[in-house]
Amino acid sequence: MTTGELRTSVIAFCCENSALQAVEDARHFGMTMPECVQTIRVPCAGKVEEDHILKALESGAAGVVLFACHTENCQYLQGNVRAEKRLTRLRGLLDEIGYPADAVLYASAAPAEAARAARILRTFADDLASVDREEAIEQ
Amino acid sequence: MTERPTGHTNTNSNLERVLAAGEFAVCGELGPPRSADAEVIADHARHFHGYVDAVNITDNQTAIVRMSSIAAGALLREVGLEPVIQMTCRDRNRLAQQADLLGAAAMGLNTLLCLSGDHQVFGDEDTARNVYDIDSMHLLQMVRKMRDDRQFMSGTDLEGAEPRFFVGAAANPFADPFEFRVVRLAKKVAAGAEFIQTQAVYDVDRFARWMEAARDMGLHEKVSIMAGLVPPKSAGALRYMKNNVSGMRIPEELIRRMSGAQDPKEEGIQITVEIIQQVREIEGVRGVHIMPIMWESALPEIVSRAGLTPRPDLS
Amino acid sequence: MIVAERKAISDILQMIEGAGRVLVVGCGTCVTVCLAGGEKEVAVCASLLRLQNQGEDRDLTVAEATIERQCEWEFARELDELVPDCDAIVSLACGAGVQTLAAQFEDTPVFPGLNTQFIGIPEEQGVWTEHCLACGECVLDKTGGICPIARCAKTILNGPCGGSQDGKCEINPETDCAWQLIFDRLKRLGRLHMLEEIEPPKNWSHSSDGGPRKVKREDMIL
Ligand code: SF4
Ligand code: SF4
Repeated sequence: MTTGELRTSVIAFCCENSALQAVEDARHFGMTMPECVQTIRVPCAGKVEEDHILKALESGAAGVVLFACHTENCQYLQGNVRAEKRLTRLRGLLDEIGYPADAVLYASAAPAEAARAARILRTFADDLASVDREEAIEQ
Repeated sequence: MTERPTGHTNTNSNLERVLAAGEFAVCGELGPPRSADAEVIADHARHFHGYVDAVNITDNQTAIVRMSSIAAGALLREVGLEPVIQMTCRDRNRLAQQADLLGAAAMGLNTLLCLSGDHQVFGDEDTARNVYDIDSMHLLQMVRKMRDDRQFMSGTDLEGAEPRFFVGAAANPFADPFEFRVVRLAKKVAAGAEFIQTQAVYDVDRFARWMEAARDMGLHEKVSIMAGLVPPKSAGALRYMKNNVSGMRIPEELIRRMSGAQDPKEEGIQITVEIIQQVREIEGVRGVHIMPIMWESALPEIVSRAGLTPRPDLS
Repeated sequence: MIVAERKAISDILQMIEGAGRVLVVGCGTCVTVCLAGGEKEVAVCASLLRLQNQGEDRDLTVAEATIERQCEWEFARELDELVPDCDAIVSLACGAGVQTLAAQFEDTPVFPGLNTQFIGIPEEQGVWTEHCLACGECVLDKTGGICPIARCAKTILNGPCGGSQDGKCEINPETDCAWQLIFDRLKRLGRLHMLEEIEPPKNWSHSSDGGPRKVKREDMIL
């Protein structure tokens, strides 16, 4: 992270069977959404590997959301379960290097839940921003 | 190979003499101190005088460092008791084991119990490397080879005095698979065991079934089987053993009896006496091995109440 | 396969301290299959090293490469061009791979990124268990195809010991008693009588106890 720079960009890996629709609708209907969200369409949240998320952080994202289908709603049965476990492991890895594990989030939304998706992204971006602000103030 | 005409002895072991005389034998057990205090041995030993034929000295039991069983055994001998030296395969390879066997025999120790040993994960030195160069079966063979063939394990001749041990092994009728337990006993007898001490008996039925299988193979005539006993101090102690010591079987009923007792220690002594009386009735049981873990003072009471005093003086 | 696990990143960071250009090298064979040192794990490890360095004063570049097998010279040589540009190599291979790179690239420090665990198999997805200790004189013919050297906690040749209960080893309830498995298998094969014989002591001189071992095929030697 470059000193003093405020980073609030969020990369959201979104499952094309659920969350992607929700986030796109949220945008379409003009719901309050953080501006800095970049969505990446994935065939299933379970397809996203640790190194994809790490690369996203390395490329400058302040946070990464892994957006999956709700429990037991995965098209591929276990994709969301895998995704959540993988994220838990990734948080451990981030902890290991002293990187804030809060920078990555696992979340789920159904295609019709635009409001829920927007709220999750808002809260996540706000949390990241507040952490950044604190750091900026310290410096 | 190990069949002995009654009355004949191979060694100077008191335990061997008692068994050869057809007496029902009694062994105690003593865990050496976690220090270099020689007096501790004599102090604990005072409970045993006149109540046992020999006292097992454990070898870093539960993989916790203690005074060596051979040194503690030599100290016990000084106060007039016969030690049964326990030797495990966990901490020493065949070189060290043979060296220690020579040393122990040179110090006048006559009775040996060969064990695999508890795995070191149980102790406080759980980062240690384990040895298990040979197993308990091989240890028996090695001791007998040194004694009877006057040869080291390698086959090299042993010149001079050979170590003359009355040699025993452990057996656990309560471990699995049950149907193999007696076969394994037979293997130990074939390997050279002359006496057997079992895991603590609480489940007398299972012990009796195991003895029956041993009799079917004629093993009770080839080896002196001694039933192990651990006097229970409390229901909690029993429960602890049941849950934490692999290869133990403790009937729930016994735990209930202990927890319902007014005076658990008295009940523990009573239970032990009853088990002794029950196993004595089983054909082929030649003695008992009482392991009063941290409770040596209970031993005289148990032995007298079981009617096993006075001990024969055959020296 | 050889099963390994990644070392803690903090340990790896300590090893590469002072190095500005680090090459993380994976191996495409065993450690890829056990998810410890393949291309993906190299990417994760390299990312973590870079991320950790963000905000630090030091300049760190981390390059990534994965070769087919680190324990063979032909493949190790594929790194010939990359290595001169780096100050340190972190090898995500088994100990043999690490040593091959260390021998191949004498002037560059090579550090182990993995803890090599054992020769084993995937018991179920995500779980690997030890199955062979490379003792040098295989006894599987006598034990129903189940290894007492690697899988019995006491390497007992005449088990099971008195700690075997309900099929589990005395050391913990998660570990199967190898000797119960051997018993069950021989019973199934109708060969239980094999366990009546005392298996003699093992000749450990064929194992690592005999000193570093060497296998030679005269006809293959050039
Ligand atoms: S017996 Fe030796 S070579 Fe055979 S599987 Fe076991 S450790 Fe490996
Ligand atoms: S319980 Fe079984 S696996 Fe464990 S040490 Fe004993 S024989 Fe070996």
